[in-house]
This record gives sequence, C-alpha cells and structure tokens, in this order.
Amino acid sequence: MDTSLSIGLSALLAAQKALDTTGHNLANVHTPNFSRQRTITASIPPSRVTALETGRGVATVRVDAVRDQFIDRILLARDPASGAATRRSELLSEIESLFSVDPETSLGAIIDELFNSFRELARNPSGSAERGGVVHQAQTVAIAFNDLAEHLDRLRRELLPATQEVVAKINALAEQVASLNLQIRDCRVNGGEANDLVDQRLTALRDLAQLIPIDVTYDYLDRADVRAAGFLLVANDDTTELAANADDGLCQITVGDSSVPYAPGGGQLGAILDVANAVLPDYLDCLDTLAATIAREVNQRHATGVGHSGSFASIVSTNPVADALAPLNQCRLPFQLQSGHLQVSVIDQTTGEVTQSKLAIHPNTDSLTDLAAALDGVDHLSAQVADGYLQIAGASGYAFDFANKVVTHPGSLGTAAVTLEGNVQLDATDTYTFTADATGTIGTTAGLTVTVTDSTGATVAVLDVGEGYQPGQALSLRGGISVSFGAGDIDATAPDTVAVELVADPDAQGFLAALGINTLFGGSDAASLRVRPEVAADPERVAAGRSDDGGDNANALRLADIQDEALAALGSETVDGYYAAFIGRVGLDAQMAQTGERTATLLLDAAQNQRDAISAVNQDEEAVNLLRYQQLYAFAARYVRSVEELTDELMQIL
Amino acid sequence: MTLRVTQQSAMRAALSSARRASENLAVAQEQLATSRRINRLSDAPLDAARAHRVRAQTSKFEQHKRNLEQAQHEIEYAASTLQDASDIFVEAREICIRAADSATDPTARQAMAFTVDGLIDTLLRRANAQYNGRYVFAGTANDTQPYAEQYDDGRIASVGYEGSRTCAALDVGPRARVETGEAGPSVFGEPGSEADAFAALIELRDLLRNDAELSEGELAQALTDHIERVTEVHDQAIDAASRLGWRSTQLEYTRTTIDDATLRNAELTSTLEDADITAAAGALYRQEAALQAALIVAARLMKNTLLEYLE
Repeated sequence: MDTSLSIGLSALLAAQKALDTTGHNLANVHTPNFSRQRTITASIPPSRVTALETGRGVATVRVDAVRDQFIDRILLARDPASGAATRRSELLSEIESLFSVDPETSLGAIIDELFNSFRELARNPSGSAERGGVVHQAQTVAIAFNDLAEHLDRLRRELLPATQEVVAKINALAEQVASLNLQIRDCRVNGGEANDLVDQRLTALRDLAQLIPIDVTYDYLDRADVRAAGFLLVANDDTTELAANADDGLCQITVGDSSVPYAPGGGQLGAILDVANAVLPDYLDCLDTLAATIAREVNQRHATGVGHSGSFASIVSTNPVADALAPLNQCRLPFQLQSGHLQVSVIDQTTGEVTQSKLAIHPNTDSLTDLAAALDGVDHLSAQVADGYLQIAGASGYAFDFANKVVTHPGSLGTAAVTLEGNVQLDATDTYTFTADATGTIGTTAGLTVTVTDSTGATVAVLDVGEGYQPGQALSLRGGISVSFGAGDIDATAPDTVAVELVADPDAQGFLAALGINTLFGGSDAASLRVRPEVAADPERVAAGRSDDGGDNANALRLADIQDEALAALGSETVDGYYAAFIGRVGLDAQMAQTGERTATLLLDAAQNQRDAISAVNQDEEAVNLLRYQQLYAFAARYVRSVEELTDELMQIL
Repeated sequence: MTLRVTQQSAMRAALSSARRASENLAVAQEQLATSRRINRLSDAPLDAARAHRVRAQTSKFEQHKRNLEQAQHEIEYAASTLQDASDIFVEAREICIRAADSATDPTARQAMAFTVDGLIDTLLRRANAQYNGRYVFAGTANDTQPYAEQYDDGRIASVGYEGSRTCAALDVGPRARVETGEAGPSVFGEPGSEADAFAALIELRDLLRNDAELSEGELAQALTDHIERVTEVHDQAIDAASRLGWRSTQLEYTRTTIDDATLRNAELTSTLEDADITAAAGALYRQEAALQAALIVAARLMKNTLLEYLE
C-alpha cells in the first residue's frame, strides 16, 4: 500500500510540475527571447529487480528549455546590422530634412537668385534698386549658408551626448551579463538548469548586440565571454568599461585605461560615430567648399571692379593678419595664395591719365609689410600696415583701382605720342605691338599705316594714320581699347615700335580677395559667410563696372558669369552642378539608409521567426498540455483515492 | 521541414505588413496633398538633383528674356532715332545738290545755310537722345550727354564727343551676349575725322554761307565734291541702322529659342517633380485596402486560439 501511495503521489507531483511548467510558458508567451520549457520525466525503477516487482511511479528528472544556440548566434550576428541601420536611417533622415527641396527656399535656389541679381544689375548698373537687390540677395545667401552650417554642426555636437548615452547603456548591459554569468554559474554548480537566467542573459546580449557587434563564447559552466571587435567586454563576471569623449570636434571611444581610439565597426554606436565623425564633417566640408568658392570667385571679380563712385581715394583691407612680418601664406587668410602679379592703376583726376604698376608677389616669402612697401613705392600712392590691416591711399588729386584699365601713354612711335584709352576686354593677357609700316608724317603722308600685332604675331589691325587722319583722333581696336597718335614722324626702318601689355585679370591669384580689399563677401566658410558691413550699409559700393561710366556693366556680367564657369575648387563643376551633386548624395545616402533599414529588419525578422519556430510558446500547444496534465492529475488523484479505498476495506477486515 | 508557427511570429508578420502598408499610404497621401513627387531628397535623389539643374536653367532663361526685351526696346529706339538722322542727311544731300547747281543764287544759298543750321541742331538733339533717362549714343557713359557743341560767333563751330567708345552688353540667351546700342563715333563718325557727320554738315553750312569767299566756280566745285562726303556720312548712319536691324532680327530668333527651351524645361520639371495625381490616387486606394486587409488578418489571428473551441 505504501508503494502504491508513493506511485500515486509521484504521478501527482509530476503532473503538478508539468502544469507549473505549462503555466510558466503561458505567462511568458510575450517575454522577448523566452525559450519554452518542458519537463523531462522518467519512470522510477523498482527497489528490487524481481519478476513481480513493478516500478515506483514517475519522477521529474529536469526541466529543459527548448532552444537552438546556432539560431541564437545568427540573431546576435544580425542584431548589430539592424541597430546600425535603424540608427543611421533615423540620423540621415534628420539631416536630409535640413535640405529643403522647395523651388524657392532651397539653398540652391537662393544661390541662383544671387547670380540673377547680378544679371538684373547688368540691366541698370547705376540703379539703386538693382544694387540694393544684389546686397539683399547676397545677405540671403550668407544667412542660408550660416543656418544650414549651424544646424549640421549642432546635430554633430548633439551626437556626443547620444554617443555617451549609448556607451553608458553598453556598460550597464555588460554589467548585467557579468552578473547573470555569476548567477548561472552558481545555479549550475548547485545542479540547477538556470533556464530563465540564460534567457535573461540572451536578452541582455541581444540588446548589447544592437549597440555594438559582439562575439560570444561559453565555458563549461555556461558563462558567456563577450568580445567586441578586439577587446574582451565581459570575461565571466568581469567587465571592461567604454568611455566616449570629444577630441578635436570628433566623437571618440576609448576602452578601459587605454587612450587609443576604438572603432566599434557596427551597431548603433558605429552608426552614430560614422555619422558624427565622417558623414556630417563630409557634408559640412562640401558646404564650406561651396560657400568659400562662391565667396572667393565673387570677391576676386568684385575686387577688380569699381563701385558707382569709380576709382578709390583710399581703401582698407578687411581681413587682418596677426603678424604683418610673417609670409602671407602663414597668416591664415581665407585661402592659400600662389605667386603672381597684382596690377594697380593710378589715375590723374585732372587729366584722366592712367599709369600702371605691376607688382610681383610671392606669398610664401612676402609679408603684408612687404606688400605695403611695394604699393608705397608706386608713384602717387601710399600704403602702410596698421593693426594688421593694409591701408592704401592715393595722393591728393589722384585715385586708384585694380580694374583692367589700359595705360594712357605707353610710349612714342618715332616722335608721335601713342595714347590709349578704355578697359581691357580680353579673355587672356596679351601684348599689342604697334609697328610703323612706313616712314612719314602722321596725318600728312599718303598711305601711312601702323600695324598692330598680338603676342602670337597675328595682325590685330592695320591703322591708317596717313593723309586724312587727324592727330589725336581715336581709332578702335579689338579688346575694348582705342588708340590715337599725336603729331610727329614715324620711321619703318628703325623700326619704330611700341609694345603694351594688356592684362586681362589684374589680380589673377586673388590677393585682393584674400586680404578683403574691395570685396563683397567676408568670411571663409559656410558658418562665417557674410556681406561686408560697408557694402551692406552703402550698396553704391557694389562693383558693377570697371570704370565710373554710369552704364558700365562689365563687372556685373563677370559676376553673373561665375554661375556657368567650371571651377577648379569645385572639381571642375559649376556652382549648380556641385550643389546638385551634393544634394543628390545627401538624398542617396538617406535613401540607401532607409533601404538598408528595411533589409536589416527583414533579415532580423526572418531569424527571429526561425527562433520562434523552435523556442517560442505556442498558446494552442500549451492549452493541449494543460488539458493533458490536468487529466493526468485527475487520474493520479483517482488512483490515490482507489488506493485509499482499498486501505479502508483492509482496515475493516482487520 | 515542418515550420512551427507561433502566435508571436504570425503577429509579427501581420504587423510588418500593416506597417509597410501604412508607410506606402503616407507616401501616397503626401503626394496628393502636395501634388509633388519629390517632397524630400530621398524620395528620388537623382531626380531632385536634376530638377535643381533644370530650374536653375529656367531661371536664367527668364532673366535672359527680360534682358532681351529691354535690349530690343533700346535697339528699336536707337534705330528709330537713326531713321530721323538719316532723313536729315537726305535733306542735307539734296540741299548740297541744289546748291551746287550754278543756277542757284547766293541769296538762296544763304537761306539753305540757315536750313542746314537747323539740321545741325536737330542732328545734335538726335545724337543726344535719351531712352529711360539714359543717353542712347553715349556708350557705357550713358549718364553723361555725349555730344557737346562749341560756338563761334553765335553759330555751332564744332561738336565734340565725350561719351565712351564701348557699349554695354546684356546676356539674352545661353552664350549670347549682345550690345544694346551703338556708341556715337560708330554712327556719327569719329570727331575730327572725314567721317564726322557734324563736321560734314558744319562744312556744308559754311560753304553755303561762302565764308571763304570762293568764286562761283570754286564754290560750285566744292559743293559738288561735298555731296560725296554727305553721302558717306549718310551711308555710315545707314550701316549703323542696318547693324541695329540685324541685331533686332537676331533677338527675335533668340526669343523663339528661349521660349522653346523654357517650355521644354517646364515639361521636364513637371515630369521630374510633379506627382501623377491619377497614379497617386490609385496608390492611395490600393494602400488603404492593403492596410485594412493587414489589420483584419491581425484581428483574426488574435481571435483564433484553441480556447475559443474548448467548453
């Protein structure tokens, strides 16, 4: 009887345990990473092995969790890609939202309007409304660049706290894994299974894998060692901490006591670092390149034009240098300079005569003081450096500019003075040589001519200066200039020649733009770009022309032409082409991130489905198990009741 | 291999479908609300980049057209003024021919001299004509009166030119820059030269007045010789008018080209940026149905368990 009761009791206990396990499964049906459990039973053998001895019931040997470590590894391998893709997509979508696609308010549209304002100015170069329009549009461009740079930079700065937050989570999860390792070890040592602890550790590992790629190995006591791209994050119950700091504007991760930067290579942390240290700086660099190039090209052309009041009585640079004795290329000017020439024209305001000086400048050796000395050496001009600024002034009765005027008196042909007038309108610098073709007297000798040739020897013009020509009468030449010959004799046998250099660009290297002399923009990147306050306050300073003629729009046309030029600083792209390529890249990066997120999610879902197929709780299965074990319990109880009744009957007999 | 499907994986699949349908529905709604296919760069990055280039080009074309209209008005005004100048030279030539006739008496020549004085004055006013407050024949110095007369004994003795010899230009099309006028010397001749129109008329007047007291024969010969000079300055003005006329014709062709290019750009911009409303409406309907289907499936999945059938 005693054995019979034990058999019944063992059945009741086994059924109870199975019901408890089923209940535990049902309670955790929605617990992430829970592995369903099942009881493993075995029959209890008889105490003596004889012919008529029966077993002694059933015992629950252990409770197993149904899991596949291979599938778990696949999930841990796919989690970093999912975490990285999601975070990257989120960040790039936020960056993308800063670039408007509106046809009127996008940065590209605003830049185009700047060039249109130059074209409007070309229609009426003396109009104050048109000049005001240029200033207004230049300010709008500067503000648009400033805003976009500020937003991108703010986003970059905000990624450091985000990085620190992720690093704190990684450290906390590593601690959690280490703690669970300890508990699992204790459980195993005491003969337990630790199924729930293992599931909790898997959850912590998967959360960790979303943040940083990891590689997990297990020892004989089922403790997990976690490696993260080259270092041991968790070793049994020990952890190594990560730290995040800013270094020279970049987010940097360090491991433990090491100061060597750590590259996580994936996960949310990798995505944030990539955006903070690569993507955003790259976008900012592109923006800065565009802003700096527009500023430099506009300034270079603006500097070699003149405003409404014409040439200057005095002018001061607006980009100071810290050390006036240091070579110019060491003075942190907006851009590096190449050796070249600067041509300055000095105009006698009484006679209108123009004299020119061409200064050679070597920015790797010449300082601002050297440049001031060279300018000071020009007749009727004075120059000095004060507080790092270059000050240039014309003598009383003289004005100066850096426009492409032509020297008035380049020399004499024989005894006939040669006089030039106008502004050079050539694509490239050239030298015109005036040569007497015959011997005779200007204006008297029949058929007397002077041939003008260019630097290649090609004939530019053959000028009739013989009978019928009035000495002093202007004759037009190609290239925007006119020439007249004074009374006198010329001799072809000498031969009488006069050569004059016609400089197409008086400042091809951009010395004026670098020093901020007669420029429209100040600043050297997207964040610092601005319209010079003097020009903003007085739009008459906008250099629409290259002379003080009211209808001279040559410089306005040059400024507008920038839009269509392939610029070396933009990789031989035009301004529009560069901007289009830039926004195309921003859009493609965001689109690819979104596609990557969808793909990573699909892959992760597929792996998760595989795990669920093996380890997740099926409510219908558990419902059947409930019925089964409930019935087993009922039958076991009936058996115990039967044994009790038998015992009662036996007692009655005795 | 039999796949064990749990409620979790089934629910995950249903929610994933519902999420995808919601995303696509949102895209269709946005396209309908904004009538634009590209509402952010990632919607169509390459098309967004291309659309920017096309818009920049269109904006330039619009500016070119404004410039073209201004240039055309200025050229037409200059041509019209030159027509008046041409009439002056025609009249001067006729006077020169009549005066050269030996039958013309000195009194008549004096009257003709007075008429030529008037012609000089009229020509001066034509040479200093203004359009929109700017001198037409002053070159780039169009805020300064280009021609100034010097008097001697109450009569105009010479006319000097104080304008510029270069003209302003405007962009009227892609790589099409056109000068919008003619500087005075190219129309009325370089002052002091044989081509100087004012000098020719002044000399004619002086011949008619016979200030040099030439004999009848000498005077008739001088007047005969002067006919050619007046003809040459007339031809000079006609040449200038022809150049202006040719430029005006060119501008008409350019206008047509710009109009065509602007229209093509507008079509291209529409193709790149505008939403196909019909397609978007169809997509909206389809995605709505897809979302509803996904939600119905999710609801059914939650209901179908063994417990529903156990008493």
